[in-house]
Amino acid sequence: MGVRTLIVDDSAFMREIIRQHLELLGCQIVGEAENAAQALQLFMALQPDLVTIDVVMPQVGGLDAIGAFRKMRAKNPRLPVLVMTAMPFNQTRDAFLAEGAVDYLVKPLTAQVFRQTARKLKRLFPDLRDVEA
Amino acid sequence: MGTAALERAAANVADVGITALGAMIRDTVVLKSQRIYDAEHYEPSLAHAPLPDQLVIVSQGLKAHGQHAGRMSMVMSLDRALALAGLIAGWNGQPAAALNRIDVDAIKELANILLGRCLDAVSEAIALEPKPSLPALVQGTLGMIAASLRPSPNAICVETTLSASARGLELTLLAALDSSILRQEPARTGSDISL
Repeated sequence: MGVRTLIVDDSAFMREIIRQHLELLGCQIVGEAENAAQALQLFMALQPDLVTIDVVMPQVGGLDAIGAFRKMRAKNPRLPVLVMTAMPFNQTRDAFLAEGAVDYLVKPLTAQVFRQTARKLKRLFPDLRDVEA
Repeated sequence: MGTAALERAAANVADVGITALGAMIRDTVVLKSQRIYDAEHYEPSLAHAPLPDQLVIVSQGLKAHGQHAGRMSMVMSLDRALALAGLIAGWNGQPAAALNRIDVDAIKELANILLGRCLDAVSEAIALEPKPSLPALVQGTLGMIAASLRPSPNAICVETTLSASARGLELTLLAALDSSILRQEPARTGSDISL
């Protein structure tokens, strides 16, 4: 069975792109959320092995991406989280990485960008498929 | 901030825009034109631009410490938006006559990426790190768009037009930054810096 993955992004278009990249690696997409509150609900229900999360999403119930990220990591401190965002700001990147994000990917998610992250995922999940050089 | 710093920031916008758009559409993108001007030159600039009647704009407001700090926008003609959506969403055949939900989503995401890169590119000109709002897409006439894009009176605008001629694509990125977040008051009025 693949790495059970939850994708969190307010753009259906981006969720599809992320899904395609991750499924190539052998991840199994178990859920998709379009805001942080929905992400937290699905995280609790599905207990995924891996989460990808966007930074700028509509706030629902006063919860933003970093809030959801912290709540998920509080529940599972070893949870690998990939941040995938259009925000290239160092301050935001540093905040997520300091709190334990596996990687901070700045869109567009080209094959080259994703290959570097895939190598990190492969170290965490050795059963994933090898990425092309 | 000085003219040199502003021109460096504008050059950065062009560089990151070319790279990011080129990566998304997998084509060669070039800088068609770039202008830096203050808000009082905004209307003549847009009104004189050779834009068609029906436009698509994706816009993000900027806030710094809870206060309005400017606006980042991407503008293109409707027919080019349709072509671009078809390209990045992977549609085959002729572009549709109107944007559907997936097209809108794809264009908003493309704008989100380009405008985020541009905001980072002008960071050396900005004293505070502004927070962008969610992107909003509006379709309308030139008059409607011009009104909705009007920057605040104390804003400095960097207007960058990129072109991928092989695909017939062209779009304009407009960064309108309030002087309150700039490192120091610019001493520059409207003029072309690269055409």
